[in-house]
Amino acid sequence: MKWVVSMLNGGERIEERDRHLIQLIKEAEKRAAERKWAEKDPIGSCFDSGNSCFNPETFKKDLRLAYFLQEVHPECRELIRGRFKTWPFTIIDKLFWKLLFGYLKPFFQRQTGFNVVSVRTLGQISCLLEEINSSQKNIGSETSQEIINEMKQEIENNKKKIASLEKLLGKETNPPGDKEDG
Amino acid sequence: MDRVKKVDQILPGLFFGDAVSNQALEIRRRLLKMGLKGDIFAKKIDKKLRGLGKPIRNFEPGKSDSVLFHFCLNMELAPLLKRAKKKVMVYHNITPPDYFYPFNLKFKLDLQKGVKELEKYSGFFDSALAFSDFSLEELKQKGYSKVFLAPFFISFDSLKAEPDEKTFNKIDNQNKNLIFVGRIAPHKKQEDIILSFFFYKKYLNPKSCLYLVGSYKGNEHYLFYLQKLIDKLDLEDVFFTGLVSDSELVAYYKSADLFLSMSEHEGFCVPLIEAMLFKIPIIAYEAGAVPETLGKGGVLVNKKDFRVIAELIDIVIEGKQIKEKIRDNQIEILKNYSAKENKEAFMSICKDIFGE
Repeated sequence: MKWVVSMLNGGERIEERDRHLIQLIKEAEKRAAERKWAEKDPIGSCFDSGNSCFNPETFKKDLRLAYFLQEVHPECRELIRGRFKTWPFTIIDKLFWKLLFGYLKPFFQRQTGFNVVSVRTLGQISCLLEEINSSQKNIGSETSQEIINEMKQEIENNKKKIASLEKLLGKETNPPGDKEDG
Repeated sequence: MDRVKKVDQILPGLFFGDAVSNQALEIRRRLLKMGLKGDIFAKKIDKKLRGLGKPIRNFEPGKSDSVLFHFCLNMELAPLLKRAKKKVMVYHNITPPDYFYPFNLKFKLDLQKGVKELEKYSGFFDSALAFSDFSLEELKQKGYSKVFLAPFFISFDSLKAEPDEKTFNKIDNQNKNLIFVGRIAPHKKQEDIILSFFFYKKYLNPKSCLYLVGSYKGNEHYLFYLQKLIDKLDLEDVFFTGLVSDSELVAYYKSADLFLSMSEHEGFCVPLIEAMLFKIPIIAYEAGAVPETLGKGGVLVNKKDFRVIAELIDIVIEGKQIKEKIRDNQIEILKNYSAKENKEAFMSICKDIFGE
């Protein structure tokens, strides 16, 4: 027997005897409507704006930045994949994250003063720039494309670093396992 | 039941604290009581559970009358069943792969493969068991025709342990303690628990803590994201416990004032029943098998308005009558898991499956 109630949007499918529990939801809704929530709540925009970098859903998507290189600089990903194509996927993944957080993140932070985790995919960089501008971080006249170009250049300039990182990881991790690259 | 003497079970891994493993062990116990012997074979066996399971390499297909194949991720081991007289799948449900993007791409791919295999193998098994209507319906949609709703066996023995003293003393019982038990995983939506807690703590009760109890192994990226969210919110008193022992789990349950679940996919959700055992009021999001398992044992919400949920948390925690009502309902629900009722239901299914 199911007890399913649509509590927060009007109360449908309610069994008569559980009606008092529905009142709980109504009471909660009433209280929430009456309470003064801070306008400039750190996550106030979570619920009100799709444009905010603090929106929880977009925040999750921000993690797609982990795959930022794939968009910005696919060769880099291919370089890793090509070199280690017989390695298990997890190791590729690990390498990728090390690359991102060990190398790209400080660079990006240095360039923008903004935490890399809050950055979204390429097409949404403008949102980041707005956020940076609004928080009065001095980024000069750079556009998103300029930042991207710089990042590309930085990667090009630092292929040696990537190679040494590969070496480092090669020492840290086991040789190819029995699983195919996913 | 005359012709079947041995029912073996196959599962990918036999792990401590794992719901699938616990279920396999319980099923074996029940089968033994019915006079049906059988071994559990697994690809990986936890050190703590050695002796309870055998390595899969020791499985001899021709020697098993019947095999219960536990499906939770893939069909990698299913071909071993080819020569078994009866092939029964035990369906533990499979998480929608998209939840794991971008946190764990490898796992997302594994799940995608699993979803395809589930459909592909629909004609391979003689029958299938599921533990919720939600899972049962899914099997039917995938083309499984002979399906049974099986009782879910929960061994409450492990929860009868004394609470771990160190853990218990560490928790401030003067605070209102919110708890969620379940591995740290994207489909369990711990971020939504955190957001609800944020509003509750900031606006309604600063003297409150949130304990997210469960392993985060394999989901480190998601954990990282949760930690970043907590930083961003400048939120204190959120604790990730990692994998805990039985006595530590008891300590968390005994200190909890409310169990909050925002999970968006559950094949059953054992922690809801465990929380009921400890008489903890529950607020849960309506998803997967949660409404079935929760029944009247808590408050079900179907919209994630975190401010309203925060208010609801306060109303339930502070409402003596509400808590009593919920507890009364929970006592009724727990009766469904009594050994006697479950035994009869299980025997009836076994007759249908194994009997000629």
